[in-house]
Amino acid sequence: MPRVTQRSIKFKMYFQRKGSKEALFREISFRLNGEPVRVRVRSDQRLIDLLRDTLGLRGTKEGCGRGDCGSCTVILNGLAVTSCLVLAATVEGAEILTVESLFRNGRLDPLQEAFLEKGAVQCGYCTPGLLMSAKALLLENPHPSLEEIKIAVSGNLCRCTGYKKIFEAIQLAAER
Amino acid sequence: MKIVGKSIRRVDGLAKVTGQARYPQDFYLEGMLYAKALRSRYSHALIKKINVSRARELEGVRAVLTAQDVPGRNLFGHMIADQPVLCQDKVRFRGDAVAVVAAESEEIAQEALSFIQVDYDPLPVVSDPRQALKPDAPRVHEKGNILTHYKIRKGDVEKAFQEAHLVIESNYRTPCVEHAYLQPESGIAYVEDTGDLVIIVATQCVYIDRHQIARSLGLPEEKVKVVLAETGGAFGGREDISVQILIGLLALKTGRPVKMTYSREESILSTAKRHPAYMRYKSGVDREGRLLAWEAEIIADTGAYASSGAAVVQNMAMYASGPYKVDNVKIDAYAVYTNNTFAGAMRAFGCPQVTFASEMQMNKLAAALGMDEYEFRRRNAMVGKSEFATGYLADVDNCQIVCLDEVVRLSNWKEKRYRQNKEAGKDRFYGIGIAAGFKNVGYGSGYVDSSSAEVELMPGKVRLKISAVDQGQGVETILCQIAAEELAISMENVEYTNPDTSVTPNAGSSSASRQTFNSGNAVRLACLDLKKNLQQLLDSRKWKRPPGYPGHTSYNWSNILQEFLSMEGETEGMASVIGRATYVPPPTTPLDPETGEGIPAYSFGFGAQVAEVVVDKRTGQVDLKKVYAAHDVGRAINPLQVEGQIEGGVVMGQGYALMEEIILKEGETLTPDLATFDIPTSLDVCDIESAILEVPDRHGPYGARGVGEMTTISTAPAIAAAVHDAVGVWIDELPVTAEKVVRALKEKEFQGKDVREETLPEKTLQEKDFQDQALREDKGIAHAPRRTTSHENWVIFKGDLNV
Repeated sequence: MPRVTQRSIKFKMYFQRKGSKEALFREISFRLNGEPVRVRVRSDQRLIDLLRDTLGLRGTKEGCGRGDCGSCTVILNGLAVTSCLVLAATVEGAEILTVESLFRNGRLDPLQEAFLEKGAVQCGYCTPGLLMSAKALLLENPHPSLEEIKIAVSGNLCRCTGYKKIFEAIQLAAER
Repeated sequence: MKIVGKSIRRVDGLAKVTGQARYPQDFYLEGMLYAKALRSRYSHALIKKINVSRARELEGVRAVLTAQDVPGRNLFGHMIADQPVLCQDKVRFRGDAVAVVAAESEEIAQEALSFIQVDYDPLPVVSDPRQALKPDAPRVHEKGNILTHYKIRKGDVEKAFQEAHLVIESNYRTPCVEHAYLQPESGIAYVEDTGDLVIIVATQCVYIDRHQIARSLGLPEEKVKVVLAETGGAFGGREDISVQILIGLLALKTGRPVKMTYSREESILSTAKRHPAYMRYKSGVDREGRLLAWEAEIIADTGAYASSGAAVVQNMAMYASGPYKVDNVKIDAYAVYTNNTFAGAMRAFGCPQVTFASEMQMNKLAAALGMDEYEFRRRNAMVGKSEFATGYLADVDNCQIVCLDEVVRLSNWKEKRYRQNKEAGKDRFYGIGIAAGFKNVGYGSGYVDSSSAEVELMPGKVRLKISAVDQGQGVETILCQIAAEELAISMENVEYTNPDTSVTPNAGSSSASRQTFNSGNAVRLACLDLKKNLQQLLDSRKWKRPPGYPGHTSYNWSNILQEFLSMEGETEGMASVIGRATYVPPPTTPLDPETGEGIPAYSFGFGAQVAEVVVDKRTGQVDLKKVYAAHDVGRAINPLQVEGQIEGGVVMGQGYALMEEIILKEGETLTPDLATFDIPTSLDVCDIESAILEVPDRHGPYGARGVGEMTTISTAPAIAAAVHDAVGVWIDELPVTAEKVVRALKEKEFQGKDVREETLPEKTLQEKDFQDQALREDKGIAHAPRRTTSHENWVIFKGDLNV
């Protein structure tokens, strides 16, 4: 199964109280959308915050902050993960792909093209996460069945479309 | 037509698939502060004292504000303003904001909340609307717990029930549910150099927001600019104010940009819900299966504040008797305050609740009559010039019949319904059910419902200015299509201006399935105006022809338009040519307070759906296999988007039917996240086959009606009917969970009957029935023995509505 929801990673936000010690920082390097990145992260920083706040990649969305909705899905070492449940400091040496990686040199990924063509986008907030779950699936299994598609995106909630057009779009992208 | 009627790609699609679309969360302004609100610890309490001094001292905290810092009216509300921006002396539900903090980081703001001391004096809580109606119930508001009581009186129901061949009475309950749009509430506010306050937010109407923000901040409306960010779903839930006033207040106080984003928990806890409703329905038919009388008592829990509750409950009253011809109607609908999370608008505005009840009644009546459910509906459907329950006479064409016929054809109803062998595996049974439904397009009931648009000719493009909010439904694309069609230009030449109260004219809210209808008409009219102005420009010869252009005698607006569009950059002598228009739909009226007479709406959308299920008799599990949905949209301006609305509406209806419920205990939300409040996932949804029907509307653009809400109302009753067809029990309380099915089956079993034998539970004739019968025989009225079928002895919700 291509999707791993990292529910096991216990995560807690520690507040920096007045007068308390400085939070711990660590410098990490990893590959983000194919480019090497070296960045200082706070020990309590989540991957989604690193991407959005520090690195300015705001295509990744937060919908619940606890791994229920899948809007923040990115591909971490080939697996679709919810980036709100990953501590930034743990991605040392990893290969991360976000939705921004799909649109290169003015060319849309076949998945993006198919999402537009099939009408799989409405409000669009779940779209980046869905695209990344679908991308992780197609990277591992280029010709998935409908059932495999449903399982692959089962961690991504969508309230607008009713999912049907999303399945169709992923099938279409796989065919291409 | 070249563009209208084509499945054109979304104009905002590219930004959305590439992650470039900017939702409020994605705005990061220099030097911005982060805001957090302190919510009430009690469902109902008096506030004795609030001490914020310790929180203010915390490093990184820039402001801590309470009620006394609200400069204007410390109340807001979508239709009736009774909700405090920050509570002063009383809290009425757990989502009430008591104080708000702005700090250098989200963590500090969160931390500061724990340093605010609030002394409460808890009051008794009322969390059941039926209890709240009692005279000695705790009062949520000074004026009492009844927000509104709508009545509809038509004909003589008592007499009609006497004459009826068959009467069915049942109690229904629908749950409290959450919109659960994926993008939590968020906004950012800052003060411009001119002193104007700018609020960037995801909302359903920038103008209604501006009005409420200005009132509460004590500013003139022109000093407040509300700018729309990309809106990540709304479904009615963004009609109410969430972060807007709080961030405005903090931005004014601190002079710095302030951003506030709700967590999912805060979103579920503090924003509007769909009204839970307790409904008692009584319906009577004659021997031929014609509806004679319809009586309903509806008690809707509007929670702690009014929001649009009064209008929602008015809609419940107006559509309580469904799309059917009935001469005798008596409806009482109450909106009742409690200490629960307040309820407001949610997709279909009161109709999902009453349609569930009325369609259940229709299915029970059909079963009791031994008639086909489809035939029974067809016989009673409003056709042509029909009188509504409110006495309004309108021509509804044959929309309802067309939808019923199509869905029956599509689903192969006639064969499947009477399939002999319904077994689908061990303990598993197949069932099929049908339901219809209709809803108003536009606010109706006398509310101002106009929409204004502006079309401006620019070098190379036509700029469309209108404050119609695209919350995902695709109105941006629809309006661009209409403008392109009207001006005979290509879609690439139309530019949609982001709604902004300082730039775009008021188009009303994106609700009531009204934007395609009202704003679509406004854009059409604005384009006509633009064409007229262009022609005038030509006639006045003020426009300088480009060199080498042929003689002006062949000019018409179209030539000039093409000329403009082929230009690049600024061009001399091009006084900006603008087309402006306001579309005012046909008038409606508020309903008479005693009789309910009035004009409820100027247009309606109809639909019918068939659901197929497989129910496991042992576990009670309901597997939805397929839904067929036929909807009359008048004219599909973009069929792909209409399909999207149908599929999305059906799945939302599926969630309402089978899964979703916000559980509240003494006003406390026990399901505050998406792990406990389940919405359908990719593994829950079934196949959906939709049919788009086009019976043109008289007033809609190209004949279009609304579609957004109608698609969600008939799903739940169709599924409940299918469950009955499969295992023979009616589940009168949504959601139809496995537990309820098992319980109903067990209760059935204890009565010593095989549920497969009986389609309807039999209740012994009551003494009253014999009396009635005897009375009739006395009068010499020949009647077959009259059966009163009541389901009260085995439905889950029991007892009188006025507990």
